[in-house]
Amino acid sequence: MTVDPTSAIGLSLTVATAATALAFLPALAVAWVLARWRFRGKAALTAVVTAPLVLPPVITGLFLLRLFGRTSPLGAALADLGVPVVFSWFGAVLAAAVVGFPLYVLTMRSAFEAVDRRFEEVSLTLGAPPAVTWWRVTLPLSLPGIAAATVLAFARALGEFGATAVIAGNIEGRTRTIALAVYALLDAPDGDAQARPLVLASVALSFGALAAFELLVRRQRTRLDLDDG
Amino acid sequence: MNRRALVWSVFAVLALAIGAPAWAADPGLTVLAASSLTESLQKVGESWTAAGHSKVTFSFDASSRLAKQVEAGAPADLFFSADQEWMDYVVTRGLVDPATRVDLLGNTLVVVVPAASTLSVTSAADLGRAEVKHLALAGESVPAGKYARAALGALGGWDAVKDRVVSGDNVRTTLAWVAGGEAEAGVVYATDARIEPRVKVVWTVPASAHPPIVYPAAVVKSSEQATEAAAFLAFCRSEAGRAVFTAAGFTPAPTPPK
Repeated sequence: MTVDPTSAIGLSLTVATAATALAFLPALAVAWVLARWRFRGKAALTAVVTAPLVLPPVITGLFLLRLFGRTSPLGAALADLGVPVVFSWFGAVLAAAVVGFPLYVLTMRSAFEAVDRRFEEVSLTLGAPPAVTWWRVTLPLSLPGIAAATVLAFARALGEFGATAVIAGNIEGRTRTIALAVYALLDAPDGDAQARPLVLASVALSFGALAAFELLVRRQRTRLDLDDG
Repeated sequence: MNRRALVWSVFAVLALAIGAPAWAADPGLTVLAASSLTESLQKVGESWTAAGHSKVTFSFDASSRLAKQVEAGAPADLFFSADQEWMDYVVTRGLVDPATRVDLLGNTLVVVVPAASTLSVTSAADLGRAEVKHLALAGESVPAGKYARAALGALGGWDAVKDRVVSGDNVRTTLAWVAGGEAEAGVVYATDARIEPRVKVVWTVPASAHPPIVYPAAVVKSSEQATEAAAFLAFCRSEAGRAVFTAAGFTPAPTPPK
């Protein structure tokens, strides 16, 4: 078999980017709720949101297959709308978004929790409405943390394999990302040589993303550590 | 690490050190086998153990992946491949004992559709029809996928379907996609189709369209129980073994003269 390395690398990047974008607002909302609200069932919500982090990705994939498969009402409806999930590019995006979601939420949550409430209180007592306070005080203070969360979710999406393998079908140019291409090459007679550029690209991308994450986390700390500034 | 944790860690390491030789001394056979053999070989293994022999541990996957595992030095005693090429692969690399190599079984390739499907397939060209949005095949290097691609190529249906092919990890993943209705049709072995009630066979691929489907088996060279492994292989070819494979739909190779 032959694999086009540029197709796999390009696909990995577009799938991870789309997954990170798709999950951004939901992750931000859930992280905010978990960081600032008190309500019954908060522990349950945390568990559900965090589950893809600890569940074997194959099982996450199985859940997605049952939820979005052609035989499920939701999957059938989406397919009718022209957005089939199983064996499709969107399926790969969805899998990557779901497995990246816990890291997204947990990192954003700590970013929100790290913001000193007194700054918000000062803003509110000076007459800024809550929405303005959130936009002008909370968000800027937690922005590096939110960016770090985005980078981490992107990195996880880039590395996604298990759930994608279950629902996406390893199709060249559509769902065959770096991880799936390397797995397919593992059992090809001449696969090792072909896998090499993909492995290198994957390592480089992952370390690049992690370096960016580290940098952003550091910036978050310095931004909040105003006493030392 | 606090003191208690340290003590427990030391215990854990000691326990492993004492326990590990016990695992290593496990006399059971480790058999790597093509995933299409899953049920039959397990049954043969059960009768083997019931006959007073040591237990057999199986690892079923695509022959291609298993061959690569043998190459990487997986501690295995026997290798059952679903095609000659992957057996040749390990033979030419000196990983199995060529003297023990036997052609064990034969099989047929069929087109399956979900049991409730009304799709009718009577030729390779029918697989190119618009209703077949996804055609499930085993991967490019997996024997079932190689046979299917060869057949579609020979029968002239490949160009019409190639953009709709979804490639399963091994033939059983492929079967599961059709059984779950995710793919409208798939090409699997006749023996796979038999074990899955959620699919039905609509067409048998002519045997002339692909290389003969043969399952060769051989003892792995690095096996420390080569004699026992060879005995299990002989058991697979015995009357009792052949009965299991025949019942599953395989065409067993004749028992060699004694």
